[in-house]
Amino acid sequence: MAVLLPAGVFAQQSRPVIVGTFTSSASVIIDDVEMRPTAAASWPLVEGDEIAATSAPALLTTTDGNLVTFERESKARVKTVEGGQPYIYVREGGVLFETKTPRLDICIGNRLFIPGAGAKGVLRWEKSGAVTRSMSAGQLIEQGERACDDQAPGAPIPNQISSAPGGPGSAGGTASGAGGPAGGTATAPTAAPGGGRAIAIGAIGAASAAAAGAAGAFASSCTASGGCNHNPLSISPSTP
Amino acid sequence: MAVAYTNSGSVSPLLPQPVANEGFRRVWEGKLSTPDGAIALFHAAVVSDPAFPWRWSDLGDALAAAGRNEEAAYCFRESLALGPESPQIALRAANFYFITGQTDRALALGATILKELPDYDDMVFSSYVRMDGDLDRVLETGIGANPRAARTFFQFLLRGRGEARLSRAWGWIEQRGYATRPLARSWANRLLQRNHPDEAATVWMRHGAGDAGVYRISNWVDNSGFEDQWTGEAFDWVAEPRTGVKTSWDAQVVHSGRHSLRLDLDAADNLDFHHVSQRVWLDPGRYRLSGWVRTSGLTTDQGVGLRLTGTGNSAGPDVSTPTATGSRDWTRLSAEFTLRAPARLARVEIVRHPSDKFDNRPHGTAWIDDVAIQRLN
Repeated sequence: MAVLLPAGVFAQQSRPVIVGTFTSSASVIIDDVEMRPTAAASWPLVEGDEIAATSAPALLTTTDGNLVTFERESKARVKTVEGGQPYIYVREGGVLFETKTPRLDICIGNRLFIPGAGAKGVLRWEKSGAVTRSMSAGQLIEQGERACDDQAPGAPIPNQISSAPGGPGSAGGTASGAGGPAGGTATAPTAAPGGGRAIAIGAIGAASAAAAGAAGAFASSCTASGGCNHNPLSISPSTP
Repeated sequence: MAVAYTNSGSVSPLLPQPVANEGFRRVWEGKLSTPDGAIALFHAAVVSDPAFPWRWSDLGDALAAAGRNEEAAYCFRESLALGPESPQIALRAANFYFITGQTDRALALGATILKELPDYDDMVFSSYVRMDGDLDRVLETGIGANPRAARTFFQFLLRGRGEARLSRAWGWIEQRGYATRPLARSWANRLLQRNHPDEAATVWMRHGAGDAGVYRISNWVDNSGFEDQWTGEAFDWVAEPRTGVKTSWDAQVVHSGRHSLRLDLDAADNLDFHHVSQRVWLDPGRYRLSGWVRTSGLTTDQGVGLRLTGTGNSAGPDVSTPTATGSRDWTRLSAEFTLRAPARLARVEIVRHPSDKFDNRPHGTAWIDDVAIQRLN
């Protein structure tokens, strides 16, 4: 006779999926608990964790080596999607990303961004509600508004925008659902049914001075030509 | 490896800590395994000071981040050997063991940290809850024979993490003899919030009652003589503020023991008072509700008495004793009632009902002591 057990029994016994590690020179918050740098240099993150940086940026290193640096006071939920690929749902603030592999999904302002391998850039959810971005290397594919939530990315949609580093003076563009800053708003182009259409954000938003300003929180650490500096640490968190 | 050993113009080795700091910079740049990367720098720091356990932990973390787990494991073993009393070293190693699925080792290290100092409790408990779903293993290996840690872990769970685990954790705590009155009361409160009054009453009886050994054995009212200042918790007295009534804990006038409840009435309206009460969980049966009341100059025709009533929307008993008014020495008030199935949550109240008379604003003082609900069959 088959014995049925509630799904929760298995869920409680199974080993959690490790998403990566989280480190900062200041405390970080994981599931409402303050994790202090004086106790450990880094903290493992598992599927479903709610995380926050506090008074300093915090670095999430995924298990396959991708780097996501959270601006201070930023908040996010970390999940995984198919194949254990990290999925980061940013609730507040902004992130720098620097990828080795294309295995990273970032949802910010209900817009899904998928950096390609070797991508470097910044995504930030402004208090105005606009999502700003700045790319210094590689490609960033955006799947548009309402493409994701705190549980999972939505189904792929055909209207994709691909961002790449712009020319001199155009470090990126601004993606805004409704009424973002003039000159820097990226809107999804109309696509032929059934086919994705990728365009370079530099081509449609090259004059997005607003985006450059909007990315100001990281402007000094992520440039179009020089890559990103993920290193705000001035002391070793391991110092006893 | 390109580490510049220059200091103040002379060629001399850098101290290990600056080298390690540089290693952390490389971690933030994502440079782990490059020739000038974090692993190389942490390795140099270890070579400079191999007796310092933090150096080994730094190197272990970097190796683990690079997926070189066997080498990382060696580093963490070294760090633990060099710093066996250090909670930080243990915590970093525990994090590594959690990541690599060596849960028993991680939990055992967690247990040693919990014994060493309480400051890391929440961080350790967070890892327990997030990294290992097996509560029995957490309790046996991660807490073990540490009553303090057991209690704080339960309080951690009570704060909203791991709700489903609370009942099992409580059972383990009770079995180990780690239960305390404050912990039991917190648990009973939570059980009431979760609408489990029967379980809450049992927990209160076993570990939370002020009248331990009497409560729910010969008297279904706890703190019946107001000997303890009421807390408002699950099955203790609740005193809500009411304009025109001052409620206090009196040590001067008592029927028995050392305290009673005192009500000073100076109402500007036709007082409807039921603001001092206690939840009671009653099985079906026949009971007597009783209490001792003394009054001094209590005006109007409506005095102070006791009432048993249902809670919330549940149809419950509605039983009232006679009341005492005017100036009377201690008088026992009582009423009998039968409660039919099922068992239910009720509330015993100290009451003053509104008067139908023209002169209906009560003034004066009443004392209440030794309230009881006793089973008659």
